[in-house]
Amino acid sequence: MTVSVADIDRWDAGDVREVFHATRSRAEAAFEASNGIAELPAFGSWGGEASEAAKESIGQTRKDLDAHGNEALAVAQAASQAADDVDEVKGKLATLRSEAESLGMIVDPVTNTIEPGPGAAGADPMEITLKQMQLQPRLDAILAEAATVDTELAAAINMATGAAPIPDTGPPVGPEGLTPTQVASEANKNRLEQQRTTTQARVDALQRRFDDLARQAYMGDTSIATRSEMESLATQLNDSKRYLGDLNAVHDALGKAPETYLTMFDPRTGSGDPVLAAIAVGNPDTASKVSVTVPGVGSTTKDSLSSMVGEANDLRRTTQLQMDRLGIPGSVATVAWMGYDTPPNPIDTLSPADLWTTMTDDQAQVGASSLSSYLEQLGTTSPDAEVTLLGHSYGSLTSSLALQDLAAQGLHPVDNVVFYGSPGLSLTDPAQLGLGEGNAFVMQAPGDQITGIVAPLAPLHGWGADPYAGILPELSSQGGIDPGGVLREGVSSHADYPRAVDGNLRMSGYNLAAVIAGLPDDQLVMAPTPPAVPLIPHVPPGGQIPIPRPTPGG
Amino acid sequence: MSGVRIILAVVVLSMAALTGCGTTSGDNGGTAMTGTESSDPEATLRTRPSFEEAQRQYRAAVQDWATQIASKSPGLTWRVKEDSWGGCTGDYANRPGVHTYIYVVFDGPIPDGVWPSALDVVQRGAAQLGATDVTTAVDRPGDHDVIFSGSDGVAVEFGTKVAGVLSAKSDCRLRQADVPASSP
Repeated sequence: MTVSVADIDRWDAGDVREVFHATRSRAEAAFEASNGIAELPAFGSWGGEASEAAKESIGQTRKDLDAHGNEALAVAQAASQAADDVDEVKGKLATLRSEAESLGMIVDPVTNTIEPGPGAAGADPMEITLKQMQLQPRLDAILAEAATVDTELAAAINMATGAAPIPDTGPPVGPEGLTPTQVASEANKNRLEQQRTTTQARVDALQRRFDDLARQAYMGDTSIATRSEMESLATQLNDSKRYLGDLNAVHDALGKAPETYLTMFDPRTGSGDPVLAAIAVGNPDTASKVSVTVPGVGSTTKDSLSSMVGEANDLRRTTQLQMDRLGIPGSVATVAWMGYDTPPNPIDTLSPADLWTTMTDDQAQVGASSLSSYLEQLGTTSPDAEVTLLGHSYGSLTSSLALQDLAAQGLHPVDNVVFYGSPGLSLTDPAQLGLGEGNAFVMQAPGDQITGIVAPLAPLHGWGADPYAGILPELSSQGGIDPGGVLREGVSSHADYPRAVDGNLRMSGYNLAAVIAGLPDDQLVMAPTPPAVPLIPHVPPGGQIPIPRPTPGG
Repeated sequence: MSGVRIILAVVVLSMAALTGCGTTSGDNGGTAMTGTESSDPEATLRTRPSFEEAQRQYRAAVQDWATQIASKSPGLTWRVKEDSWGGCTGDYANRPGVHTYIYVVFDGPIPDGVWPSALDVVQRGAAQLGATDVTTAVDRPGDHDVIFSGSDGVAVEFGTKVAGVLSAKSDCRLRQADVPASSP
């Protein structure tokens, strides 16, 4: 359906915002029978698809409210976008009118054409035609844009009335509107999409230039200048493609669960460093339980973030199920925090330098600083939530350092922590973590040689006590044999803890969920405590004797 | 301290070469391929029924189990709390596949008197979905939680204490829209 200049003149972005604000406010009364969208006829005089949708909506009950009386963010976003676009179209039309007037022309709101105005009296007909040829294409473009806006607005109205389905990717908006995390996430997503567009354009431009030069070279151009530019372009192209890969990975990871928020986004544009991001599944602002997972060696935004989000979604569900089973009210949000540069996996890179990096805590220290800031912010936006930090592998060291850093400042945004697959925590006394007694746990698996061989050496190279020597209570990662004689699944390798066999959460996943849910101690499955026998007898320097540890893998 | 670190580095490199370590994503986490599965995860996905088909199958199954369980305890009712989807993990993390998930909550506990037969309903049903491995997290009077799992993410969880809970998650599937049209 076409939109006329007269229609645009009647548009009022304020109407759009007001109507949708009003319908959102009424979400509290979602179940009242007379919950029609009475205000929508405000669009009735507009013309276009939005007008038709508004007329058909009269008397209709809102159909987009879920059992909690929430409205899908998709509706609010569509309306907000339409309102912004209305402003933009009206602004462009006003500019065109002003320029036309300065040329003695007018915009005819009935015919949608540029016509001679009073100022053009007596003008040369050819001159008038030239001015029309100059201005009419711009008016046509504005009208085309207006038609798109009209379609957007009609879609918003139809979603609000239930005439059109709301995309199931639309997260809920509470009666109070968007929460701080939702607002920040939308801003981050917009920045992400802008970066993707810009970077894709750069990749395309570099590729075109490179292809041109390659053709020249093929045709016989052997100049040093051409070869030099091609070499330079190849480097730039590779860097840009790698950066685009990171950005696309964040975009894809956001699509790995129905309700995701980009809670942190650091594009590090132009630095050559990987993109950093954190993605929440569920809204941390409204959840009563929030977890933050910190990954370890070899984890990257490009290769790991999607899987981390999938695992976070599994963890959210398992935690919610456990809360419901025990009658604990509230909801859950789980955050996949890819907020620091983990040491590259030396097995993948075969680099001695990378191997050395994994043996030092330099990157853990840098990561801990970023993590501390993130957790502090989380404590501000989710002050009533019970927050659990989950540190895997090198990420457990990063997590421990962050907690110690926060505790040293007198800050305590985290309630519980689980360190799993840990090589060491730079910790000699659990009190350094600043958590309540019984709120910090470790977990290990019998097949995990990081905990089996590296962790006992922690005291030797300055990473504190062996985390598994008894300084912290140990959760079971194992199934073992059930009373019916059936072998239960357990974690068997270093990367297995959050994953479960083929993607299922097993005992380790149950225990992580139980801690996040704040279940009572009798619901946690602890590792058995066989007679304490050190796996590797060693004499530490300075007379510091590590606490003998039980057999791992309980 | 440096000397210790060098020794440690050698130890770590040696054992990591043997075991693989590090990321929580990426390649197969030690899972054996079945005879019908390809080393190309996307090719494997194309051989499976669609996500929509899994959605229908899992919805019907869980609702059937819930109805059977409720019928064993007069007055016990249930409702679907979540009926959704999620991205795949592990081998399929960076693929277009998704899994289906359905979760029901009962309005009260499943009494111990009917727990064994209720568990039997779920165990037999889970086996039909391929979830035959059992993890018993909690098993006390009035307090139970059992997870059945199978290959490539199939999982069924059943528990009770204050309220009965029952969920099922499928393996990774392609949405119909992502399934390439078959050649004539």
